[in-house]
Amino acid sequence: MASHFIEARGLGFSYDAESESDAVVALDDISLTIDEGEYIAILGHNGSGKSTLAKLFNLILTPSRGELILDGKTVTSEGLSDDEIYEIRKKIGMVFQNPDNQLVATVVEEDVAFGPENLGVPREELRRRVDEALATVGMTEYARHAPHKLSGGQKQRVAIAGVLAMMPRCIIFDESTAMLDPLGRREVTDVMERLNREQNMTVLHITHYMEEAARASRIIVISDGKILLDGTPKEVFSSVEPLLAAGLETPQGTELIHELRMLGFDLPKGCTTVGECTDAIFSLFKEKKDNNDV
Amino acid sequence: MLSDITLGQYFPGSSLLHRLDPRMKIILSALYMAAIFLAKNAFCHLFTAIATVLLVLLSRISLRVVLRSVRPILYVLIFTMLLNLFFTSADGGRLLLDFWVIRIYEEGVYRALFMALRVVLLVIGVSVLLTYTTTPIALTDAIESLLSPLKLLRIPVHEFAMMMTIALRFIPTLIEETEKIMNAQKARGADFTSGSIFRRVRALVPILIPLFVSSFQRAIDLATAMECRCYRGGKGRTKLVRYTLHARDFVMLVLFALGVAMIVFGNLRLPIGRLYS
Repeated sequence: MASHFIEARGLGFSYDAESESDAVVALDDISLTIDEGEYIAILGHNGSGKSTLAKLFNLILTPSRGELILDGKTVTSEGLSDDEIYEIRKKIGMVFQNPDNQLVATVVEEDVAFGPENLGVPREELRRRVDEALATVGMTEYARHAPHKLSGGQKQRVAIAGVLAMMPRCIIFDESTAMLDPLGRREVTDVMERLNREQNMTVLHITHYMEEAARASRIIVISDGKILLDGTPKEVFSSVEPLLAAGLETPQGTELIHELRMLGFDLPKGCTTVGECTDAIFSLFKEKKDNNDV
Repeated sequence: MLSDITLGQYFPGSSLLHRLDPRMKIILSALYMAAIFLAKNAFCHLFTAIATVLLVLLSRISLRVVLRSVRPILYVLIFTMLLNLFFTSADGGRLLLDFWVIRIYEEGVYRALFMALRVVLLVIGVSVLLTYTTTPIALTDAIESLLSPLKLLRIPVHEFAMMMTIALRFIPTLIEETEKIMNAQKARGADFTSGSIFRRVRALVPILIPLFVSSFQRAIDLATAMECRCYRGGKGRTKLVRYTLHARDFVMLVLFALGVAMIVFGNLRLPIGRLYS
């Protein structure tokens, strides 16, 4: 059996787990596998449990039930020792939601160096890693700037560089785009995509923006602590009804096509990007015009 | 704007003083202070004054800025001078003025002048050596490095320095946040600028409470983020920036040491006049 990078078996998590009565079940019976080099978006509305899942993968939280296998290391409700957690966190980095609350130093490059400094990386190597990480996120020219003077998107890219400099194999983005303006969101998702494509980095992007999720190669939809859908963006977005039931919207184009299909128009299922939808509708009209239907 | 406040009043530059190792600058400041307080007679005071002028010239910071550093202590200065002037008695030399209960002796005048000179030189010298020419973060690093022997006594030097760094990092962020909250409260009709002092202080409560709440949230977030970046305290950590001592650091150290020696010598050998003991 090929081993997966991340594997969850019947994973569950409850907040307030000490008292059985008022425990809030955040995740229930989650089973999934994630391989190295995948680009996955985890979608869900607020309170669906998607952030809890991310926090379990990084061992900020310990599972309440079931087991989680992270790069061959099994985590159960017993948790791991600090040293074992440290080893896992070297491999799985995390970028958080609020860009302000994750930058430690007063100079950009010193912040990027924070992670590898903690790992005890020697100085020459540190320098190289910091420069490379800053170049990857396109922030080299800001190396000596103060973080508080940067825009949200830039801060978030510095945070990504800080994780990259630790050379993890997987980065989890826990709603890292939620507090950014459209431009900042574009910057950050571009970096994610490039990391996945060029460095074969495993990327887990937790989000509630459909357009961003559509850029991933696989989407996992979480609703009420359970996996609702799991598949390619095409597969997931063509299941319009379950998505709407989960309180999620499909991309506008996809929804338009869905509505048109309901009215009996002959349109393909599973168009996700604006381009695809435009093409589909365009060719439909063209066909009709050619047949003099319109 | 609140956010224009520069912390520690650092003035960017590339003068000799800017380029000195921050650790050396702390040591030099200590020597400088020792020299100022050791100075006992007119010759020594003249010497420290000239040395301070040289330091200011070396720092290439404009004289206006340097003099501004004295302004906050002006009242303390005047107060000290008056105390020295009126309350020096006993063997205070010639009596200059005797009016009602006020008696001013020659010695008192000198004491007042020298004390004022000392305080002014102290403030200018330390500002030029440290605060104007060293970034707060370099200062923190230097303090950590100089105090590192205390780690043997299990004093958490690294943790202390990390707290300083985080505080420095978050001051601008918290100022921004304060502005936001103030604007939000103003939009709801809060008034911070009129009424009695008590009224105004009371008006600050609705700013402080949200600020505290959000600061705690930030602290939790930051702690989680730091743990995720494998932070485990100072043990086994490497550092990106390391300060190295250059020839210029040692030259300055020698010059300062010579200066202190000069003062000690001057106190003993050159009692110009009997200005005061």
